[in-house]
Amino acid sequence: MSQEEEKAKLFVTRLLLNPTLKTLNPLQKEEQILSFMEVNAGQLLPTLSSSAFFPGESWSTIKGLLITSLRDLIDELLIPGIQRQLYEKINFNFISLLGKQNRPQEEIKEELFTFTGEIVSIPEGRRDFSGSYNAVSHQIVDKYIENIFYDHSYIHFELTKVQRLKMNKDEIKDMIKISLILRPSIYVLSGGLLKDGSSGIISQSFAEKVEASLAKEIPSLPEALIKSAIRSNLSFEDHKYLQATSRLTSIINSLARSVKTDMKVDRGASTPEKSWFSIARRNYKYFGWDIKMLDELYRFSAENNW
Amino acid sequence: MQSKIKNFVESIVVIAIFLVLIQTFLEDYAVLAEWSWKIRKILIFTSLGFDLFFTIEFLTRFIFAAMRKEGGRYFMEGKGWIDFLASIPLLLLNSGPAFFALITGSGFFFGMGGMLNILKIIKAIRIARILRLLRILKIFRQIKHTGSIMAQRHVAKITTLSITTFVFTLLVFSIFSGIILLPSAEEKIMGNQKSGITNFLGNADSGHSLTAAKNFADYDADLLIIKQNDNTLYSKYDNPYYAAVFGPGDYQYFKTKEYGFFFDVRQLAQIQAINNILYFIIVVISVLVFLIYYSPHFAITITDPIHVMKRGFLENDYNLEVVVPPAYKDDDIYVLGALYNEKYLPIKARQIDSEINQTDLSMDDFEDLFK
Repeated sequence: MSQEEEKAKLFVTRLLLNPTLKTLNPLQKEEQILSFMEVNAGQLLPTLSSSAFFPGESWSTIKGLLITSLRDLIDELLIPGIQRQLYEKINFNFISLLGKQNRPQEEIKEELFTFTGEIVSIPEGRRDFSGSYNAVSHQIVDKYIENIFYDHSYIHFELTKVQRLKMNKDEIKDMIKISLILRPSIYVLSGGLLKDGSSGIISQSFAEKVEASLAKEIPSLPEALIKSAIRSNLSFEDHKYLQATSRLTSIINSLARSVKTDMKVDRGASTPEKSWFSIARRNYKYFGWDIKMLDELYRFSAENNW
Repeated sequence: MQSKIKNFVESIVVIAIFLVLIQTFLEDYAVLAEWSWKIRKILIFTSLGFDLFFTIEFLTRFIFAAMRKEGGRYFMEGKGWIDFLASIPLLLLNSGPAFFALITGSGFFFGMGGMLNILKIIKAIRIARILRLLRILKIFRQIKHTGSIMAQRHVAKITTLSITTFVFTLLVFSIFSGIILLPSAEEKIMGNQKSGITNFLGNADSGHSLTAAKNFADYDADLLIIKQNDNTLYSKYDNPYYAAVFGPGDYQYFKTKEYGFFFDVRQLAQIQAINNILYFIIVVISVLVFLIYYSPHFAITITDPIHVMKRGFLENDYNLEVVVPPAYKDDDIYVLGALYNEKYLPIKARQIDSEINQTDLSMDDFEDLFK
């Protein structure tokens, strides 16, 4: 490691220690610091190009050094986290229930882990994966599925009767988790055409192309799972027959991307997830979400003080 | 260094305020519980000490403020008037006269013309003592009961207003009850004593002074001593008892012809002590109610929703809704809170979704890195 790389690493390490970032997941921290560098470039350059940091270097060189160091540091936290989820936490038994020939689970895990590495290798993929990672690693999927199965209302009906998933609740949890992990694959498989900064809604024809590409990339995955993941980027407003797992994946990804799990709630403020669902219910058309699902999930968050 | 000294002095003032509240209560309780004169004498000294301390505190604050040409502002807006009322008038009307009476002995009162003057002085001191309750506002000012400056100012204002109104109503009533000659315990007692003395003199003139003295003592339980020239005709207690229990102001003296009469007037002080303790309790409970009930109520129904909205406006990733309690949903603040929830937050969520480079980090967060 060069002296400049070491300086960059040290500098980024100190940025990451800021208390403001304490409640965020690794990818959210990265996003905040990248935005901070972008917004404050004018003020950062005079200091960072001084003799104490990177004397005489241009902003693009300095930024490149810092971003590389930042990604390396975040990956040190992120990659083991993904590995733990795929290899230890998620059970892949549900795949056989989706009609795919049984393949050794280790092979599926290996393929998925490799592909996830591709997702987090591009900035857009990292940004969208932030919500998925939060949802999977903080049991957000688990707690809502528990309530859905306890309540036996609209979402349960959509999952079991409309989508006809013959699975128990744990298998559905695992399916949605994999769906969440694969959701940002649209950025990997779009050939650089798709940039974020929008609500992420894509067209059906685009979704079909991506599904075909993903099926080639990870042949062990059943079609229903691929559809569940990729179509979570479609709008329910325009696609009323969107499968329930896709709708849930979309909602949970956005929820988990916005909500800080360890946030201290101010007196007089509503709880984070209840607030998020309340706002989402007013924006459901804009983001292409299923309002009935939002209503039910809002109720769970209110009842449980989430 | 200057700030450290200031903080140290402020801490001393806070401690003194707490102590003076305890002392205020004890001074009245001592009268009611008939504590020995020795203890009550200590309480009179401490009372003078506190009054001197607060007078010096007020004068120091006022002089320093005046040197900065902010004397008027300190007096009116900085609650200097509370500092003033809780110091100089008390020194001049309460502890000062009590202390003077103590060092000059009862002669001070007698020299002023006997019984009537004693009662007037007792009354003046009694009225002035009500002002001591204002000191509780000084301690209230030191308590940071909520995080919001607006809540602190509002609750401090309403507490000051309530307590001041209560104290001044008592003060004005006490003064006017004297002026318009409302029937009082002092007058009733004085009337009884006068008629007792008249009867005694009638009986004594017929040559039965000892029997008359005994009859007078049976008639008036407050009669302590009757003297004829330098001889004691009657004494309720022995001298050591008088020395241990009675202080100036606990008795009154009346002289007519060759007779001198000492009466026990502690009962008057006890009636007043009961009233004082009652007023003290009312004021303490009022302040506690303002602190414990009203202050959180104000914070919950006014400043908390404002704080939540303020954070929502300032911070990109703060999107918590304002909780609108059904009971207060028509209050202006909650109407605003509902608009914030229903209009602003959804727009903000859409805007944040469509923009990259949203961050709540600023250069100030990393100040230490760039030094």
